[in-house]
Amino acid sequence: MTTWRQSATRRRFALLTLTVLPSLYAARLMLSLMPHKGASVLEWITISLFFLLFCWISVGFWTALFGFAVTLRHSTRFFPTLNRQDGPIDNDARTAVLLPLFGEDMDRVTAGLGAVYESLRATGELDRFDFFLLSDTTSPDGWVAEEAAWLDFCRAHQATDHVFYRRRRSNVKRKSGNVADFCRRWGRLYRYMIVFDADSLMAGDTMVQMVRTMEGNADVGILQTLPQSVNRTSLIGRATQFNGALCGALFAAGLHWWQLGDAQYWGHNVIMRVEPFMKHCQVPRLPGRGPLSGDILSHDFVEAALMRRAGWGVWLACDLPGSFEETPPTLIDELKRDRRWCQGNLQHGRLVFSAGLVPLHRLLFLNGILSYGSALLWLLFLISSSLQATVAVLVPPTYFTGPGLFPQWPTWSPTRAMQLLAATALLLFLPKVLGLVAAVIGRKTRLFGGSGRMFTSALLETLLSALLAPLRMIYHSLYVTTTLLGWKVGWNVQTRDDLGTTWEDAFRAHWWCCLLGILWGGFMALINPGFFWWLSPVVVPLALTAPLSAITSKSSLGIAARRAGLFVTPQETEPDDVLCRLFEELRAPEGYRTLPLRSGQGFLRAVVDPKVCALHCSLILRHHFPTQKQLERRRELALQALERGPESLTNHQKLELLGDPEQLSFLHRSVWSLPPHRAAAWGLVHSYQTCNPVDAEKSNS
Amino acid sequence: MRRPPLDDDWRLARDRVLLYAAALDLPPYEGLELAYESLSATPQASITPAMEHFFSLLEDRGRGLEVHDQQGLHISSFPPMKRGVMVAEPLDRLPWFTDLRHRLKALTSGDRQ
Repeated sequence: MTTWRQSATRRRFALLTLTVLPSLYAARLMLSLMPHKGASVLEWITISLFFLLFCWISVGFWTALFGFAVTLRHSTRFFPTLNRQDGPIDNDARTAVLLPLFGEDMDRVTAGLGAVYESLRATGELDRFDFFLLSDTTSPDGWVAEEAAWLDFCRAHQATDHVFYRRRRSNVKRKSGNVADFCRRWGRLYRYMIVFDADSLMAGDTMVQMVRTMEGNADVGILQTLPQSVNRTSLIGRATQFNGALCGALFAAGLHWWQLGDAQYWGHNVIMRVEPFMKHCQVPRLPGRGPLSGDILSHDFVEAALMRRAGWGVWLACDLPGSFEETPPTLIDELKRDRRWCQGNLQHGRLVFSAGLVPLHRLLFLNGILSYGSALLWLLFLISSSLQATVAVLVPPTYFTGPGLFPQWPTWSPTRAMQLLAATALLLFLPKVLGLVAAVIGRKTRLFGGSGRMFTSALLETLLSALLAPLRMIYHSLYVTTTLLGWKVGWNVQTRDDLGTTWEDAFRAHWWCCLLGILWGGFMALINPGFFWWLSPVVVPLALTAPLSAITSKSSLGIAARRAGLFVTPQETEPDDVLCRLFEELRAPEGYRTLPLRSGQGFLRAVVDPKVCALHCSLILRHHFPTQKQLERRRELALQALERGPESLTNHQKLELLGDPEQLSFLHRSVWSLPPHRAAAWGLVHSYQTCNPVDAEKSNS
Repeated sequence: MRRPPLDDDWRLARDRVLLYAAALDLPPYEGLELAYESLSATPQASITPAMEHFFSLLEDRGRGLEVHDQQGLHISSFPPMKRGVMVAEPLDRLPWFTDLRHRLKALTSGDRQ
């Protein structure tokens, strides 16, 4: 792989040329459509924004086109998997699989872990892998639930020697700090680490292939796989995963074509070489105050840039199947996630000029910023266009602007306008057409539910994307603006299920978007009806944001679409073994429980359930060295809890009690000795009482 | 066994002890045996003495509230550590600015000399 740098230079030059030159031509065309041909400042602002946006969508278009060409030619040039080691894997090449957790649903986590674990066992290489559940969970209930789930999993899969659990007391630097903490403690035991997200899935064979590829390419530091979206039932989730299945591979092949060894790391479903990662990839804190300072939220791009800076290759293994993830199930979940990503990407602006970074990673930082910044540019473009349309109506035209006596008439060329519209549409929609063509040529239409259904699904998905694009634009613009203004963004947990958004929630979240759409559209319809029709694809969906958000989040609609054969993906038609295993794990009936406590009631379980209490105390006892002052305070807390019930404790106080095995044992014994009316508050009810502690309390009172 | 009059207090004590024995997940006979012993040794019909007796029986039999591994140590959920270092390498975010500052500094110090 010594020549990839020369090829990369040539390919990137081609991409740059193909992006910039047509964009300049399109901007010139746009200029000719302006009433005053660039004579006003407003027109020049509009043209500049148009040029930037045209460049932005051109990059996506050419990436897909290159990917299509690579796929069509079955070209595997520079694929890192070609050099993978085929013999037995070196005994020292041990791999840690990391699952960072932050208050996740442990039923889903252990089901996924079980599927991956058994899939890996089937390869016969399980002994080379260890799994680490790395918790940053801050809730007492979540902490205990994780411990209990870990032990249940180990017992069910005889995995005590291969599956480990660690919880950090302080989640400094969030996910990147969590991984760094692992590296400091156990990193030296492993040559590689595979990083998952809580919803990641990977086939055992894929993981072994990743290790083999790393073994065969000694200069590769990070190998990123292309995760396919799966398991969604909501309409928006299914449409997104269909689009990913149709076009994702093309984009990945295209990205690989021009990025080569300067690729990016997407935060999960990736294998990394631990030693150079520990040496070079600790993400720095950004100095100063405000949202663009402190811990870098989108640490993955930075880690890739640092790895590359140290001379290690970062590659995208676009040909490795068997890597899966789940997308947000609702629009609100997606927007919540985007808020975090937006802040993280904007922080990269402070790293663009850092010493030693390869030029492409500087551009990729800018690209990440533009992922959200382009929304603001688009909004500014629309506002400036609307202002121009308003000025054109309200301000009387000046025909005699030149020195002579001849008037200068504003001209309008509908042919050029249509050409420009067609070119923009081509850039936006041709990648989807290429995805369809690739599926037809590759005889994969059956996997998408048949030709007719595949084309219908693509059409519906395009329509849905077009409807949702203005909403995403408004929200992304808001995020960019608020972040730059210094409003803090928290680390929200995604709701990774398909419960859907209620109409009430949708209106509460999006009412202002609806109002904006109605006011903007109404104003333009009154002032300049001709321009309103050009603007209607933006303002009409905006006015309908709340209904769109509620409707697209419905699982019932997604399931109905699936029954009709729409938005079907290859992973549904011919699911990978690891996905089948996941469904089996999720369908497995819940184990018998003696006590009527749900798995999510972690604190109650730690106090009441003798097995959970014993496990929790034992895990802490090994590392427990409290001070006298702490002991006294915790004793008071235990007595308070006993007197007033668990609801009297704050989460912080519960955490403190959970950190003290002596007080927990005392509380456990005391609760079991309480009379029934007080024990019910702890969920300790007898067979003739109701199983819900809250109801039990009510019945007792 | 002395058969106490079956009032509500006895029922509650019996149910609580049996519930605990069930929650412990002991082998069925052992759990019932412990419950039997603690109830038969309880002097009065009340939950508290019955449970206290149950706990002391458990301790006598070495079944305290702890989980041990094969070496008899408290169970650990992670393997022995092999500590390493991971610190951020110096990252000059504005190298041209740093360079300019150094040059100016050198220039001013040169002037002074």
